[in-house]
Amino acid sequence: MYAIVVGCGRAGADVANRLSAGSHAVVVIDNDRTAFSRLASDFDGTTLVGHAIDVNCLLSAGIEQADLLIATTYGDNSNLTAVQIAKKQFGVDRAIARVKDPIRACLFGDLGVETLSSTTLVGQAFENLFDQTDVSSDLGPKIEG
Amino acid sequence: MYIIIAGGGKVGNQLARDLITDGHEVTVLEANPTKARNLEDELGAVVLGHDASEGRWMMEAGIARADLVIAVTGHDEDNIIICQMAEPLSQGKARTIARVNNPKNSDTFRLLGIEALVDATDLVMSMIERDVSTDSVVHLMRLQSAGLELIEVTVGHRSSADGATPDDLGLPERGARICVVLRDHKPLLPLATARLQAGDSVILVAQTEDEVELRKQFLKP
Repeated sequence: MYAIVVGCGRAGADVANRLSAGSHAVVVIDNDRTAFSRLASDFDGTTLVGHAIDVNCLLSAGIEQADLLIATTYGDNSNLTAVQIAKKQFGVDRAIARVKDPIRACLFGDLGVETLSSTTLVGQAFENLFDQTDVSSDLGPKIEG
Repeated sequence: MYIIIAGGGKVGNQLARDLITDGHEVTVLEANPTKARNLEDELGAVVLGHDASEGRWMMEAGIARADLVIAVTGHDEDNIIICQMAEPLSQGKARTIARVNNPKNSDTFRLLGIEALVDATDLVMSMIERDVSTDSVVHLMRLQSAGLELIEVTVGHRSSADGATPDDLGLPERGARICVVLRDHKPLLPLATARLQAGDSVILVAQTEDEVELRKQFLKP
């Protein structure tokens, strides 16, 4: 599979490392060159300095051949725009945007844009922990100990 | 009309002022707290110090009853997403207008269904002309694809246009056409033989490249 990862923050670098370790062809884009230091030493893909919504930059990254685009920058709006360009202009099979604002994630989900809301995921994870644990008896002693 | 302006920079500020003066109800959303406070000092209690692209603040601002959303932040991706969100949040009622900061991105705006665009460069030009220029040429609209402009110009005293007909000015040869003449606030039909006079307000369609020449004819003594 040919994947483009937009944004090389912690999440972007993590997903890029995973894809590369899984023997996929990966191009990582970030507008800050120093962000690429987050990639693993055995990262086997390519890096590209550029902006998420710059069509020329996406073309240089080979978006016309890409099967997957994952947008993980800190900006919800950049991610949503990049993913829509990938889908509508270049017909990329799968394009997923990381979106922190749950309302925005929901609205664009309704519009057919695939999103992953880290806020909702973390909220749900905490809720699950809560449900599984009797907070007053179980957590208390552990903190003291 | 109820109008939400996303972005309280220079453009948003000026727009809010003009629209309030025209009797519209306006809310400005500005994410930068310092800018938002300064804006509130100037405009009064019509400012929300929050990010317009965050769904909850758009709802707080009353997007459900908005007639128009104008996205004029300095970031194209924000303006795109704000306009796209306005549609479902207002149940399709609110119209949207977006500012394009980088002309390279205008195709992306259109690709994503945002048709009412204002190129910042153009907007700044017309604002400068309206507010600063003494020679009163106003770009009403740029008919970009055709290379045409709709221009409003006031005939200057003893200019070439003062006392001249459209033929005298060579307008037909250059593909320029007077749409309407306003004299003492009354519209006149633009007859080919009618003579313009100083103080007339003329609205004409002209080729973009002829603008400088027209300016001279209408304004310079």
